[in-house]
Amino acid sequence: MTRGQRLAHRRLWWVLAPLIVATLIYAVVFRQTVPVEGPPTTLRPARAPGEAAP
Amino acid sequence: MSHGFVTVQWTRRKVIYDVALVATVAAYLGLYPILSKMGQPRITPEIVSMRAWGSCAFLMLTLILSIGPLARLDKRFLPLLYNRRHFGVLMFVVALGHLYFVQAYYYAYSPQDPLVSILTQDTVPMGGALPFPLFGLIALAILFLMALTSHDFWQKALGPRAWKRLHMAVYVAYFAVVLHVAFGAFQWETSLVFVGVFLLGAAAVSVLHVLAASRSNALDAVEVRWVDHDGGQWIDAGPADRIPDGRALPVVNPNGERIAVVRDGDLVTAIHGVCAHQGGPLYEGKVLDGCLTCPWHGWQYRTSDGQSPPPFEERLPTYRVALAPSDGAGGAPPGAMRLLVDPTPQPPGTRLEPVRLSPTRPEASDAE
Repeated sequence: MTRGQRLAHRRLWWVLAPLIVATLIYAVVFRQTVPVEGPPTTLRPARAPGEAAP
Repeated sequence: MSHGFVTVQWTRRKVIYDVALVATVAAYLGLYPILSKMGQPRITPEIVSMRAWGSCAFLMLTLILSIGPLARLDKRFLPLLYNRRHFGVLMFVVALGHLYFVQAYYYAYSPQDPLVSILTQDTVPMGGALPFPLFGLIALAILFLMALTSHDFWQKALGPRAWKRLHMAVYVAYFAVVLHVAFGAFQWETSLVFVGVFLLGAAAVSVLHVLAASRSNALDAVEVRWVDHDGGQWIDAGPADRIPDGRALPVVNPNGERIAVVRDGDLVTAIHGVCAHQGGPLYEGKVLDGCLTCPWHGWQYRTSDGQSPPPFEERLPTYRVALAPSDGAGGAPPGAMRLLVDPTPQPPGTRLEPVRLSPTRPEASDAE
Protein backbone atom coordinates (compact mmCIF):
# COMPACT_ATOMS: atom_id res chain seq x y z
CA MET A 1 0.00 0.00 0.00
CA THR A 2 1.11 3.57 -0.50
CA ARG A 3 1.98 5.60 2.56
CA GLY A 4 -1.40 7.37 2.43
CA GLN A 5 -3.29 4.08 2.22
CA ARG A 6 -1.27 2.60 5.07
CA LEU A 7 -2.00 5.61 7.25
CA ALA A 8 -5.71 5.59 6.35
CA HIS A 9 -5.88 1.86 7.05
CA ARG A 10 -4.17 2.28 10.42
CA ARG A 11 -6.29 5.24 11.50
CA LEU A 12 -9.47 3.45 10.46
CA TRP A 13 -8.59 0.45 12.62
CA TRP A 14 -7.53 2.54 15.61
CA VAL A 15 -11.16 3.76 15.54
CA LEU A 16 -12.97 0.62 14.36
CA ALA A 17 -11.31 -1.90 16.71
CA PRO A 18 -12.40 -0.12 19.93
CA LEU A 19 -15.85 0.46 18.43
CA ILE A 20 -16.26 -3.23 17.60
CA VAL A 21 -15.00 -4.33 21.02
CA ALA A 22 -17.26 -1.78 22.75
CA THR A 23 -20.23 -3.04 20.71
CA LEU A 24 -19.49 -6.62 21.74
CA ILE A 25 -19.20 -5.67 25.42
CA TYR A 26 -22.43 -3.66 25.26
CA ALA A 27 -24.22 -6.52 23.49
CA VAL A 28 -23.05 -9.03 26.10
CA VAL A 29 -23.91 -6.84 29.10
CA PHE A 30 -27.36 -5.93 27.85
CA ARG A 31 -28.13 -9.23 26.19
CA GLN A 32 -31.82 -10.25 26.42
CA THR A 33 -32.17 -13.90 25.60
CA VAL A 34 -35.62 -15.13 24.76
CA PRO A 35 -36.19 -18.40 26.68
CA VAL A 36 -37.93 -20.29 23.88
CA GLU A 37 -36.72 -22.27 20.92
CA GLY A 38 -37.28 -20.86 17.50
CA PRO A 39 -38.00 -17.29 16.57
CA PRO A 40 -39.21 -14.71 19.10
CA THR A 41 -42.96 -14.21 19.03
CA THR A 42 -42.68 -10.61 17.86
CA LEU A 43 -40.97 -11.77 14.70
CA ARG A 44 -43.67 -14.15 13.55
CA PRO A 45 -44.75 -13.35 10.00
CA ALA A 46 -48.08 -11.77 9.27
CA ARG A 47 -50.60 -14.24 7.88
CA ALA A 48 -52.08 -13.94 4.44
CA PRO A 49 -55.74 -12.94 4.27
CA GLY A 50 -57.82 -15.98 5.02
CA GLU A 51 -54.87 -18.08 6.17
CA ALA A 52 -55.55 -20.19 9.24
CA ALA A 53 -53.68 -19.43 12.42
CA PRO A 54 -50.84 -21.87 13.13
CA MET B 1 -2.35 -7.71 -15.33
CA SER B 2 -3.12 -4.80 -17.62
CA HIS B 3 -3.05 -6.50 -21.02
CA GLY B 4 -6.76 -6.69 -21.93
CA PHE B 5 -9.52 -8.07 -19.75
CA VAL B 6 -11.17 -11.47 -19.56
CA THR B 7 -14.00 -12.46 -17.23
CA VAL B 8 -11.71 -14.54 -15.04
CA GLN B 9 -8.07 -15.36 -15.73
CA TRP B 10 -8.34 -18.94 -14.63
CA THR B 11 -5.25 -20.65 -13.37
CA ARG B 12 -4.92 -24.04 -11.71
CA ARG B 13 -4.53 -22.36 -8.33
CA LYS B 14 -7.64 -20.28 -8.83
CA VAL B 15 -9.68 -23.33 -9.84
CA ILE B 16 -8.51 -25.26 -6.75
CA TYR B 17 -9.20 -22.23 -4.54
CA ASP B 18 -12.69 -21.75 -5.93
CA VAL B 19 -13.63 -25.43 -5.84
CA ALA B 20 -12.48 -25.64 -2.20
CA LEU B 21 -14.39 -22.46 -1.41
CA VAL B 22 -17.67 -23.54 -2.99
CA ALA B 23 -17.39 -27.06 -1.51
CA THR B 24 -16.80 -25.66 1.99
CA VAL B 25 -19.74 -23.26 1.74
CA ALA B 26 -21.99 -26.02 0.36
CA ALA B 27 -20.90 -28.35 3.18
CA TYR B 28 -21.62 -25.65 5.78
CA LEU B 29 -25.05 -24.88 4.37
CA GLY B 30 -25.79 -28.61 4.09
CA LEU B 31 -24.59 -29.56 7.57
CA TYR B 32 -26.05 -26.58 9.44
CA PRO B 33 -29.71 -27.76 9.25
CA ILE B 34 -28.75 -31.27 10.42
CA LEU B 35 -26.76 -30.03 13.42
CA SER B 36 -29.33 -27.35 14.14
CA LYS B 37 -32.17 -29.89 14.25
CA MET B 38 -30.18 -32.02 16.68
CA GLY B 39 -29.82 -29.08 19.08
CA GLN B 40 -33.25 -27.50 18.53
CA PRO B 41 -35.75 -30.10 17.24
CA ARG B 42 -38.66 -27.61 16.99
CA ILE B 43 -36.89 -25.16 14.76
CA THR B 44 -38.55 -24.49 11.39
CA PRO B 45 -36.73 -25.01 8.08
CA GLU B 46 -37.16 -21.33 7.17
CA ILE B 47 -35.47 -20.17 10.35
CA VAL B 48 -32.71 -22.72 9.86
CA SER B 49 -32.05 -21.48 6.32
CA MET B 50 -31.97 -17.87 7.51
CA ARG B 51 -29.48 -18.68 10.24
CA ALA B 52 -27.37 -20.97 8.07
CA TRP B 53 -26.90 -18.39 5.30
CA GLY B 54 -26.51 -15.48 7.71
CA SER B 55 -23.95 -17.18 9.92
CA CYS B 56 -22.12 -18.45 6.85
CA ALA B 57 -21.85 -14.92 5.44
CA PHE B 58 -20.61 -13.60 8.80
CA LEU B 59 -17.98 -16.32 9.08
CA MET B 60 -16.87 -15.76 5.48
CA LEU B 61 -16.50 -12.01 5.97
CA THR B 62 -14.64 -12.59 9.24
CA LEU B 63 -12.22 -14.94 7.45
CA ILE B 64 -11.83 -12.60 4.47
CA LEU B 65 -10.89 -9.71 6.75
CA SER B 66 -8.54 -11.89 8.78
CA ILE B 67 -6.54 -13.05 5.76
CA GLY B 68 -4.90 -9.65 5.13
CA PRO B 69 -3.44 -9.09 8.62
CA LEU B 70 -2.62 -12.80 8.98
CA ALA B 71 -0.62 -12.69 5.74
CA ARG B 72 1.24 -9.61 6.97
CA LEU B 73 2.01 -11.31 10.28
CA ASP B 74 2.88 -14.72 8.81
CA LYS B 75 3.72 -15.41 5.16
CA ARG B 76 2.19 -18.89 5.29
CA PHE B 77 -1.24 -17.26 4.93
CA LEU B 78 -0.32 -15.59 1.63
CA PRO B 79 -1.87 -18.31 -0.59
CA LEU B 80 -5.26 -17.46 0.94
CA LEU B 81 -4.84 -13.85 -0.11
CA TYR B 82 -4.25 -14.73 -3.74
CA ASN B 83 -7.89 -15.22 -4.74
CA ARG B 84 -9.63 -13.27 -2.00
CA ARG B 85 -11.85 -11.43 -4.47
CA HIS B 86 -13.70 -14.62 -5.43
CA PHE B 87 -14.12 -15.30 -1.72
CA GLY B 88 -15.66 -11.83 -1.34
CA VAL B 89 -18.07 -12.17 -4.24
CA LEU B 90 -19.25 -15.57 -3.00
CA MET B 91 -19.72 -14.09 0.47
CA PHE B 92 -21.94 -11.37 -1.01
CA VAL B 93 -24.06 -14.04 -2.74
CA VAL B 94 -24.44 -15.91 0.56
CA ALA B 95 -25.39 -12.67 2.36
CA LEU B 96 -27.96 -12.03 -0.37
CA GLY B 97 -29.32 -15.54 0.29
CA HIS B 98 -29.73 -14.61 3.96
CA LEU B 99 -31.73 -11.51 2.97
CA TYR B 100 -33.90 -13.64 0.68
CA PHE B 101 -34.81 -16.08 3.46
CA VAL B 102 -35.49 -13.24 5.90
CA GLN B 103 -37.78 -11.52 3.43
CA ALA B 104 -39.49 -14.71 2.36
CA TYR B 105 -40.29 -15.69 5.94
CA TYR B 106 -40.92 -12.51 7.89
CA TYR B 107 -42.19 -10.16 5.24
CA ALA B 108 -43.86 -12.38 2.67
CA TYR B 109 -47.36 -11.20 3.56
CA SER B 110 -46.55 -7.69 4.61
CA PRO B 111 -48.85 -5.12 3.02
CA GLN B 112 -45.80 -2.91 2.47
CA ASP B 113 -42.83 -3.44 0.25
CA PRO B 114 -40.57 -5.94 2.09
CA LEU B 115 -37.64 -3.52 2.05
CA VAL B 116 -39.81 -0.77 3.56
CA SER B 117 -41.01 -3.24 6.19
CA ILE B 118 -37.45 -4.08 7.15
CA LEU B 119 -36.56 -0.44 7.56
CA THR B 120 -39.67 0.53 9.50
CA GLN B 121 -39.98 -2.49 11.77
CA ASP B 122 -39.98 -1.79 15.52
CA THR B 123 -37.04 -3.85 16.74
CA VAL B 124 -37.04 -2.70 20.36
CA PRO B 125 -39.42 -5.47 21.59
CA MET B 126 -36.97 -7.97 20.10
CA GLY B 127 -34.28 -6.84 22.50
CA GLY B 128 -32.36 -4.71 20.06
CA ALA B 129 -31.63 -1.18 21.22
CA LEU B 130 -30.83 -0.26 17.65
CA PRO B 131 -32.63 -1.11 14.38
CA PHE B 132 -30.44 -4.06 13.45
CA PRO B 133 -32.04 -4.79 10.04
CA LEU B 134 -30.90 -1.35 8.87
CA PHE B 135 -27.27 -2.21 9.64
CA GLY B 136 -27.60 -5.42 7.69
CA LEU B 137 -28.90 -3.50 4.68
CA ILE B 138 -26.09 -0.93 4.95
CA ALA B 139 -23.52 -3.74 4.98
CA LEU B 140 -25.20 -5.45 2.04
CA ALA B 141 -25.27 -2.22 0.03
CA ILE B 142 -21.51 -1.72 0.56
CA LEU B 143 -20.79 -5.35 -0.25
CA PHE B 144 -22.91 -5.04 -3.40
CA LEU B 145 -20.82 -2.09 -4.60
CA MET B 146 -17.66 -3.99 -3.87
CA ALA B 147 -18.79 -7.17 -5.61
CA LEU B 148 -19.87 -5.09 -8.59
CA THR B 149 -16.50 -3.36 -8.91
CA SER B 150 -14.36 -6.35 -7.95
CA HIS B 151 -13.17 -7.02 -11.50
CA ASP B 152 -9.83 -5.65 -12.71
CA PHE B 153 -11.72 -3.71 -15.37
CA TRP B 154 -13.21 -1.49 -12.67
CA GLN B 155 -9.90 -1.17 -10.95
CA LYS B 156 -8.40 0.14 -14.17
CA ALA B 157 -11.41 2.37 -14.84
CA LEU B 158 -11.51 3.89 -11.36
CA GLY B 159 -7.76 3.98 -10.85
CA PRO B 160 -5.96 1.91 -8.19
CA ARG B 161 -6.19 4.60 -5.50
CA ALA B 162 -9.91 5.33 -5.86
CA TRP B 163 -10.62 1.61 -6.18
CA LYS B 164 -8.68 0.83 -3.01
CA ARG B 165 -10.43 3.65 -1.18
CA LEU B 166 -13.81 2.26 -2.23
CA HIS B 167 -12.87 -1.26 -1.21
CA MET B 168 -11.62 -0.16 2.20
CA ALA B 169 -15.32 0.46 2.90
CA VAL B 170 -15.46 -3.27 3.62
CA TYR B 171 -14.29 -2.40 7.14
CA VAL B 172 -17.29 -0.14 7.59
CA ALA B 173 -19.45 -2.96 6.22
CA TYR B 174 -17.96 -5.31 8.79
CA PHE B 175 -18.75 -2.92 11.62
CA ALA B 176 -22.32 -2.69 10.28
CA VAL B 177 -22.47 -6.50 10.27
CA VAL B 178 -21.24 -6.60 13.88
CA LEU B 179 -23.99 -4.13 14.85
CA HIS B 180 -26.53 -6.15 12.83
CA VAL B 181 -25.70 -9.35 14.71
CA ALA B 182 -25.02 -7.80 18.13
CA PHE B 183 -28.39 -6.02 18.26
CA GLY B 184 -30.19 -8.71 16.30
CA ALA B 185 -29.71 -12.47 16.57
CA PHE B 186 -27.22 -12.16 19.43
CA GLN B 187 -29.99 -10.75 21.66
CA TRP B 188 -32.13 -13.87 21.55
CA GLU B 189 -29.83 -16.65 20.42
CA THR B 190 -29.25 -19.16 23.21
CA SER B 191 -26.67 -21.36 21.49
CA LEU B 192 -23.28 -21.02 23.15
CA VAL B 193 -21.59 -21.97 19.88
CA PHE B 194 -23.24 -19.03 18.14
CA VAL B 195 -22.37 -16.64 20.97
CA GLY B 196 -18.76 -17.86 21.14
CA VAL B 197 -18.13 -17.82 17.40
CA PHE B 198 -19.58 -14.33 17.02
CA LEU B 199 -17.64 -12.81 19.90
CA LEU B 200 -14.37 -14.53 19.04
CA GLY B 201 -14.69 -13.80 15.32
CA ALA B 202 -15.36 -10.09 15.68
CA ALA B 203 -12.73 -9.67 18.39
CA ALA B 204 -10.15 -11.59 16.34
CA VAL B 205 -10.64 -9.37 13.29
CA SER B 206 -10.12 -6.26 15.43
CA VAL B 207 -7.06 -7.58 17.25
CA LEU B 208 -5.41 -8.92 14.07
CA HIS B 209 -5.78 -5.58 12.29
CA VAL B 210 -4.38 -3.65 15.23
CA LEU B 211 -1.43 -6.07 15.50
CA ALA B 212 -0.66 -5.85 11.77
CA ALA B 213 -0.95 -2.04 11.88
CA SER B 214 1.47 -1.92 14.82
CA ARG B 215 4.01 -3.99 12.92
CA SER B 216 3.67 -1.75 9.87
CA ASN B 217 4.01 1.27 12.14
CA ALA B 218 7.22 -0.12 13.58
CA LEU B 219 8.75 -0.42 10.10
CA ASP B 220 7.84 3.16 9.26
CA ALA B 221 9.31 4.34 12.55
CA VAL B 222 12.80 2.95 11.77
CA GLU B 223 15.18 5.86 11.69
CA VAL B 224 16.81 6.38 8.31
CA ARG B 225 20.63 6.36 8.49
CA TRP B 226 22.17 8.61 5.89
CA VAL B 227 25.52 8.06 4.23
CA ASP B 228 27.40 10.50 2.01
CA HIS B 229 27.91 8.82 -1.32
CA ASP B 230 28.46 9.88 -4.91
CA GLY B 231 27.95 13.54 -4.06
CA GLY B 232 24.62 13.01 -2.29
CA GLN B 233 22.88 11.54 0.70
CA TRP B 234 22.03 7.86 0.31
CA ILE B 235 20.08 5.56 2.62
CA ASP B 236 22.04 2.89 4.49
CA ALA B 237 20.09 -0.32 3.76
CA GLY B 238 22.20 -2.46 6.08
CA PRO B 239 24.72 -5.29 5.57
CA ALA B 240 25.05 -6.35 1.96
CA ASP B 241 24.37 -10.01 2.71
CA ARG B 242 21.20 -9.52 4.74
CA ILE B 243 18.87 -10.03 1.77
CA PRO B 244 18.17 -13.72 1.08
CA ASP B 245 18.62 -14.79 -2.52
CA GLY B 246 15.42 -14.36 -4.55
CA ARG B 247 13.87 -12.06 -1.97
CA ALA B 248 13.58 -8.36 -1.20
CA LEU B 249 13.72 -6.17 1.85
CA PRO B 250 11.94 -2.89 2.50
CA VAL B 251 13.76 0.39 2.89
CA VAL B 252 11.66 3.32 3.99
CA ASN B 253 12.16 6.46 1.97
CA PRO B 254 12.07 9.73 3.97
CA ASN B 255 8.80 10.57 2.20
CA GLY B 256 7.30 7.46 3.80
CA GLU B 257 7.14 5.31 0.66
CA ARG B 258 8.81 1.93 0.70
CA ILE B 259 11.54 0.80 -1.66
CA ALA B 260 12.07 -2.90 -2.41
CA VAL B 261 15.78 -3.76 -2.42
CA VAL B 262 15.87 -7.02 -4.39
CA ARG B 263 18.48 -9.74 -4.64
CA ASP B 264 18.52 -12.09 -7.59
CA GLY B 265 21.56 -14.32 -7.29
CA ASP B 266 24.51 -11.98 -6.73
CA LEU B 267 22.77 -8.97 -8.22
CA VAL B 268 21.00 -6.36 -6.13
CA THR B 269 18.65 -3.70 -7.49
CA ALA B 270 15.94 -1.48 -6.04
CA ILE B 271 12.46 -0.71 -7.33
CA HIS B 272 9.38 0.98 -5.90
CA GLY B 273 7.95 -1.18 -3.13
CA VAL B 274 4.26 -0.72 -3.97
CA CYS B 275 2.58 -2.87 -6.62
CA ALA B 276 0.72 -0.91 -9.31
CA HIS B 277 -2.21 -3.33 -9.09
CA GLN B 278 -3.65 -2.97 -5.58
CA GLY B 279 -0.76 -1.46 -3.69
CA GLY B 280 0.56 -4.84 -2.53
CA PRO B 281 3.89 -5.02 -0.64
CA LEU B 282 6.35 -5.89 -3.40
CA TYR B 283 9.19 -6.05 -0.87
CA GLU B 284 7.52 -9.16 0.55
CA GLY B 285 7.50 -10.86 -2.85
CA LYS B 286 9.74 -13.46 -4.49
CA VAL B 287 11.94 -13.19 -7.57
CA LEU B 288 10.56 -15.44 -10.29
CA ASP B 289 12.11 -15.48 -13.79
CA GLY B 290 14.01 -12.28 -13.09
CA CYS B 291 10.88 -10.48 -11.93
CA LEU B 292 9.90 -9.39 -8.45
CA THR B 293 6.46 -10.94 -7.99
CA CYS B 294 3.82 -9.30 -5.82
CA PRO B 295 2.72 -11.67 -3.04
CA TRP B 296 -0.89 -10.53 -3.31
CA HIS B 297 -1.88 -11.35 -6.89
CA GLY B 298 1.30 -12.27 -8.72
CA TRP B 299 1.90 -9.07 -10.71
CA GLN B 300 5.50 -9.02 -11.88
CA TYR B 301 8.19 -6.37 -12.41
CA ARG B 302 11.66 -6.94 -13.83
CA THR B 303 14.20 -6.34 -11.09
CA SER B 304 16.47 -4.55 -13.58
CA ASP B 305 14.09 -1.80 -14.71
CA GLY B 306 10.79 -2.05 -12.79
CA GLN B 307 8.93 -2.87 -16.01
CA SER B 308 6.35 -5.65 -16.23
CA PRO B 309 7.37 -8.29 -18.79
CA PRO B 310 5.65 -8.00 -22.21
CA PRO B 311 2.84 -7.83 -23.12
CA PHE B 312 2.14 -6.02 -19.83
CA GLU B 313 2.89 -2.33 -19.56
CA GLU B 314 3.14 -1.41 -15.87
CA ARG B 315 6.26 0.45 -14.90
CA LEU B 316 7.59 1.31 -11.47
CA PRO B 317 10.27 3.82 -10.50
CA THR B 318 13.72 2.37 -9.90
CA TYR B 319 16.42 3.46 -7.48
CA ARG B 320 20.20 3.46 -7.72
CA VAL B 321 21.98 1.00 -5.44
CA ALA B 322 25.63 0.98 -4.37
CA LEU B 323 27.95 -1.00 -2.13
CA ALA B 324 30.23 0.85 0.26
CA PRO B 325 32.43 -0.15 3.17
CA SER B 326 30.92 0.66 6.53
CA ASP B 327 32.36 3.59 8.44
CA GLY B 328 31.77 1.73 11.69
CA ALA B 329 28.69 3.69 12.65
CA GLY B 330 25.46 1.92 13.57
CA GLY B 331 27.25 -1.02 15.18
CA ALA B 332 28.62 -2.46 11.92
CA PRO B 333 32.28 -3.52 11.89
CA PRO B 334 34.38 -0.97 10.00
CA GLY B 335 35.06 -2.11 6.46
CA ALA B 336 32.07 -4.49 6.22
CA MET B 337 30.21 -3.94 2.97
CA ARG B 338 26.85 -2.20 3.24
CA LEU B 339 24.12 -1.55 0.73
CA LEU B 340 23.26 2.04 -0.04
CA VAL B 341 20.11 3.24 -1.82
CA ASP B 342 19.71 6.58 -3.55
CA PRO B 343 16.28 7.86 -2.38
CA THR B 344 15.73 9.79 -5.61
CA PRO B 345 13.35 7.77 -7.79
CA GLN B 346 14.32 7.33 -11.42
CA PRO B 347 11.55 7.60 -14.01
CA PRO B 348 9.37 4.44 -14.09
CA GLY B 349 10.95 1.72 -16.18
CA THR B 350 14.50 3.16 -16.03
CA ARG B 351 17.08 0.44 -16.36
CA LEU B 352 19.83 0.73 -13.76
CA GLU B 353 23.04 -1.23 -13.32
CA PRO B 354 22.67 -3.78 -10.53
CA VAL B 355 25.21 -4.07 -7.75
CA ARG B 356 27.13 -7.33 -7.73
CA LEU B 357 27.56 -8.77 -4.23
CA SER B 358 30.43 -11.18 -4.99
CA PRO B 359 32.38 -10.07 -8.04
CA THR B 360 34.65 -13.10 -7.86
CA ARG B 361 31.84 -15.63 -8.00
CA PRO B 362 30.26 -16.69 -11.31
CA GLU B 363 27.02 -14.93 -12.08
CA ALA B 364 24.08 -16.94 -10.70
CA SER B 365 21.40 -15.42 -12.85
CA ASP B 366 20.98 -12.24 -14.75
CA ALA B 367 18.39 -9.75 -13.68
CA GLU B 368 16.65 -10.00 -17.01
